[in-house]
Amino acid sequence: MKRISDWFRNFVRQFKQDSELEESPRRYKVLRRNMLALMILVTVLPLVLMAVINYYQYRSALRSEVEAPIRVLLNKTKHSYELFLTERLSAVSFIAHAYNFTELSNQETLNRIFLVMKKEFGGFVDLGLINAAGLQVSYAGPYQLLGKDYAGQAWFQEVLVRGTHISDVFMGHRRFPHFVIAVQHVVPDGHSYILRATIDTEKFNSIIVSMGLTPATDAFLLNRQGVFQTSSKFYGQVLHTWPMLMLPVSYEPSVFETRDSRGLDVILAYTDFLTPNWVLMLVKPRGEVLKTWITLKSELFLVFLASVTIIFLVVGWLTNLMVRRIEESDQKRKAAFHEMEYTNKLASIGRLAAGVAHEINNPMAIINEKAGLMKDLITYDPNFPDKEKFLKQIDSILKSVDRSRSITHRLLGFARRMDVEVEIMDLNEVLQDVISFLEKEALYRNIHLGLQLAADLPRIASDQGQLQQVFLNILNNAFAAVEDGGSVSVTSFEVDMDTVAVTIQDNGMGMSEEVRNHIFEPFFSTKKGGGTGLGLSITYGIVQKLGGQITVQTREGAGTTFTVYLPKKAPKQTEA
Amino acid sequence: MEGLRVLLVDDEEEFVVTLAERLKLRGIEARVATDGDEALTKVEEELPQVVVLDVMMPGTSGIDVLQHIRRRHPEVRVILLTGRGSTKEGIEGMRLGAFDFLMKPVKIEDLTQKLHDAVGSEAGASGGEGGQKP
Amino acid sequence: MRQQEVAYLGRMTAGLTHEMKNVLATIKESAGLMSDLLPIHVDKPEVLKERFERILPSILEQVRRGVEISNRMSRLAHSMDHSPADVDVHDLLDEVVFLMSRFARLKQVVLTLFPEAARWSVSTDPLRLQLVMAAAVDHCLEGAQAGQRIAIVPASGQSRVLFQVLDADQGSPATEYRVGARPEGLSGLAEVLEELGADVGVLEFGGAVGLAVQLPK
Repeated sequence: MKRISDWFRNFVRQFKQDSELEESPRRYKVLRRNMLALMILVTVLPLVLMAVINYYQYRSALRSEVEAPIRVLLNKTKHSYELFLTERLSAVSFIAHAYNFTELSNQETLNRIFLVMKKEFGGFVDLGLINAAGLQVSYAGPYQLLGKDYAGQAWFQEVLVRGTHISDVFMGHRRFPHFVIAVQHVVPDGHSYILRATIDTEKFNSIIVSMGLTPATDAFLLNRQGVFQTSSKFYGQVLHTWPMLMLPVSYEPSVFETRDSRGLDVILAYTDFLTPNWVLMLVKPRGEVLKTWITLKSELFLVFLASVTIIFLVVGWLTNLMVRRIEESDQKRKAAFHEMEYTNKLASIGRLAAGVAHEINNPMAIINEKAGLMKDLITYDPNFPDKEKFLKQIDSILKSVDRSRSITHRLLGFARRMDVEVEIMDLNEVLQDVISFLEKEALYRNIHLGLQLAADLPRIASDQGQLQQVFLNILNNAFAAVEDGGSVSVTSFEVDMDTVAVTIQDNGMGMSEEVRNHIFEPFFSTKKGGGTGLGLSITYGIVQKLGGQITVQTREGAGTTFTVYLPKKAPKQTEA
Repeated sequence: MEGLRVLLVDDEEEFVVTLAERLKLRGIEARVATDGDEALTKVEEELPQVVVLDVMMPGTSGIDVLQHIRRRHPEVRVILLTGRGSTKEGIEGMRLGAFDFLMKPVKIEDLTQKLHDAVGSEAGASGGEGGQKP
Repeated sequence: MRQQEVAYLGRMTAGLTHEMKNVLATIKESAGLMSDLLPIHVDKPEVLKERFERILPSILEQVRRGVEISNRMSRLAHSMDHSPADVDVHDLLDEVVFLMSRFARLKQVVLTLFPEAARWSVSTDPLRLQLVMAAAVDHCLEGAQAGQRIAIVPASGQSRVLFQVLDADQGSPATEYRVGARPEGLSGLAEVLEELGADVGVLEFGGAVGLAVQLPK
């Protein structure tokens, strides 16, 4: 987590202006990469989240949408079957109970009843009366079953126990499937008889047909052992076995996905009947069911893909644009800064040259007078040659020459140092040089210049020319701030293992809080009608570039102190 | 040029002392002062006829001295010494009533000439030899 | 462009400073010589007088030179004060000649200004114009040989300044000439020239090297 927050903090910092030291082509690559990553993350992540949520939501919604009709259909169909069976069972039961044994034994009566049944209900194939011993005593129907003994058959035993019986489908005489409904009537005096009717499965099939299934959908009845009670379209004919596993009993419609014996993905729905032990099954190809879902899914995916592509394109383009703009503006800012720097340098050289030119006049005048005097002595002095006198004059000339030389030497040094870059240098030396440029002005204006330069100040690696500029700018400001008779003091000292510092303090007019906050801004100047307002902003920029810091303490009316902190080792300078 | 009383004022001691010496060799006695306050003191001590005044001095400036003299002793002629960078002050000084100005380094002959001119016009105003009445 | 101005100012200042150092060194030597001679001839006033009377004017001459250099430096420093300013082209060329003489001398070439009678003023940036003229001199110096002379000829009528490299025996600059395209070597001046509204072209006048600086009217 910390790594992420660090990365993020680094990322934000890259946008801050002060990171001039890190400028390089690599910076923009990194910036672009980070911006791209962040923007894409922020835009794509919610999209993905939404897509995923939607996907699952739609899926379950559609699922239930799709499942519901199947369940309904299944239930309806089951009810149809149940109705059909109940009707027939009721009919047989009614007859079994409405007529007594004797009446039913009568062949004619039975025939008549059978015909009516066939006409009214449909589907009855035959009707037979079986006595308690299991013998068919009368029969109405197409087969020769009179006298047949059913005592050993399972269904007979079951009827005796249960009272009613609906059989599974079986292949009857004439090779078409039907099933049997048998009802036992127990007479109050104890003996019983069974009425048995055979029903064909034609109606079964029509119920299935009435389900209105699509061609690929299959519905059929199975018994609990997996034997087809009706023919299936794809899985087997009636009385064949269902090729897959039988499913757990479920009296409510159960829907699930599976793969069928053909290898197709299907939706399988089934429901159990209470009686008989049959299962109504419906098999639909998954594709068909989920056609809407699949279309939706692919549409969703396409939209997602398109969105992501667009996002990538737009974000990429935008990031590129922005980073390029940042790069451009950084370069412009650097160029402007350089321009300002040079303007500042220009002004400095100019002022110094003018100052030097001015200062040189006095020594020149002295030499002039001395030489002139010597000439006069030759002409006028009777004591010529007064050796002592002459030597004195010559000595004075030499002193003036030295004075002039040091004046011009400083200027030469300044002009030359403009181009040299990082080197091991003595900070005190630079300070002394800069101060000497202002000595005359200090003298004229009676400004007290105090120096407290640490004697053991370690040499540092930095740019002499630029530091010259910095201290000249600050001292000029100090001189501008003090009145005649004021004082300016310069102190240099070691701060710690890695840093040295210089303070320049004046007892001039100081600055208000307002002014102080803007003091390093370009074009900010409090000099009315004079000054470009660039000096301190350039100073600030240079100090930053050299890896240092500059602070200001000031009180209006009480004076100002500038403190410049410099690293003993300047950072690597990369020029764009 | 007997009795010509000159006061030389310049903050460069070597210069002003030597200049005084050279004038002396030419028969002109000159006192020296190396700052404005000293100059004013010496003016009060003994009034000179001409004051040769450097305009660029720390502390009490040449202009201040000039103004003081023009106010208190308008009969005293002031010749200003200017350097290349102080022509502005020189012109201002002229406006404030200086008699003339010279650029440093001076040619001794030019200075002696200007000194003569300065007292000459005074002598002319107060009569003097030759009896030339305007 | 500022960089070029800084470079120009720096170079010229350095040049003047070097000249000043030479002046001072000469004075020092002369003074030293006098102090040497004193004990030697202290009892021979006539000899001393004769020697001194030769040395002292030389010192005074150096002082005059020193003052001149200082004046030039002051003027150079103040040439940035007002921009644009009314610049007398002759005066400007005079300054440039002085400033560049040192560099010409090193190559044993003489710079000569051929001034016109009439005044010629332009309103421009003094420092930048100096910069261009100095660059023209530099260009000519590169193509000149020891003993030759560079004639600098203002032609106010055409608002031009011509630079011609002449042999020592050629008295006056050519009056017939043609101005060609900007030379390759001066392509770095493009920005400054545009700022000034000026241009530089190769001068075809019968000599080997020549330039024409075209100023705005």
